Amino acid sequence: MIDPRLAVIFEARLTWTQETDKEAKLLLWLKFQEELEKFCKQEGIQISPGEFLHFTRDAFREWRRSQPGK
Amino acid sequence: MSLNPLLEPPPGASFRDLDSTLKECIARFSHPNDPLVAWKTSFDEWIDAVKNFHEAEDRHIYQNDRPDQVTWRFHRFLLHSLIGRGEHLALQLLSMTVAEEEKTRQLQFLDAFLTDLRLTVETWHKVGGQAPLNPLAKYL
Repeated sequence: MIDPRLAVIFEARLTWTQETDKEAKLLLWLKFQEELEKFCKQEGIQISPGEFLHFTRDAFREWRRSQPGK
Repeated sequence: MSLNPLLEPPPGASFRDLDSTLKECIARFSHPNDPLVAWKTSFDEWIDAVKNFHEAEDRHIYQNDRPDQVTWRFHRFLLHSLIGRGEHLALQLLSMTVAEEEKTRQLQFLDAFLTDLRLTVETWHKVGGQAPLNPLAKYL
C-alpha cells in the first residue's frame, strides 16, 4: 500500500500528462510541482521531479492500472 | 516484411509532411501580418502528436506487463523525436519578431508540454538505470 500522499502526486502527474489545453497544461505542471514540494517539505527530503518519477515509476504504473478509465 | 510491426517504415510519411507544411502555409496566407498564426498551427499539430503518443504509451508501457526491447526503444525514439520537434518550435518562436509578452506566454505553454516529455525520458530511460538505494522506498 503506497503512502496516500504519493497517490495525490501521481494523480497530479497523470492529469498533467493527459491534458492538451495549453493554459490548463501549464497550471497542472505547477500543481504537480506544488504537490511534490508539499510532500518533500513534510518529510524533510530534497528530490527533483525527475528523480521522484524515476524512483516511483513501478508504483505509478501499478497505481495507474488501478484507475479505471484513466 | 518484419515480424514486428514497430519496425516497419511509416506509410505515406511524405504525404503527411506535405499536409503539415500546407496547413502552415495556408495559415500564413490567411494571416500574412501575424507571424504567430502559422507557428500556432504547427504547435497545435505537435500537441496532437503528443496526445496520440500518450494514448499509445498507455497501451504499450502502462497496460503492458513486460514491454519488449523494441517497444522500449520505440518509446524512447518517439520521445526524443517529439522533444526535438518541440525544441525546434521553441527556437522558431524565439527568433520571431512578436511582442515579448506573447512570446513568453507561448513559450511557457510549450515548456509545460516539453517538460512532461523530458520527465518521461527521465522516468523510463534514465542513463545508468535505477540506483540500488531508493530514497522513496519506505513510502511505496
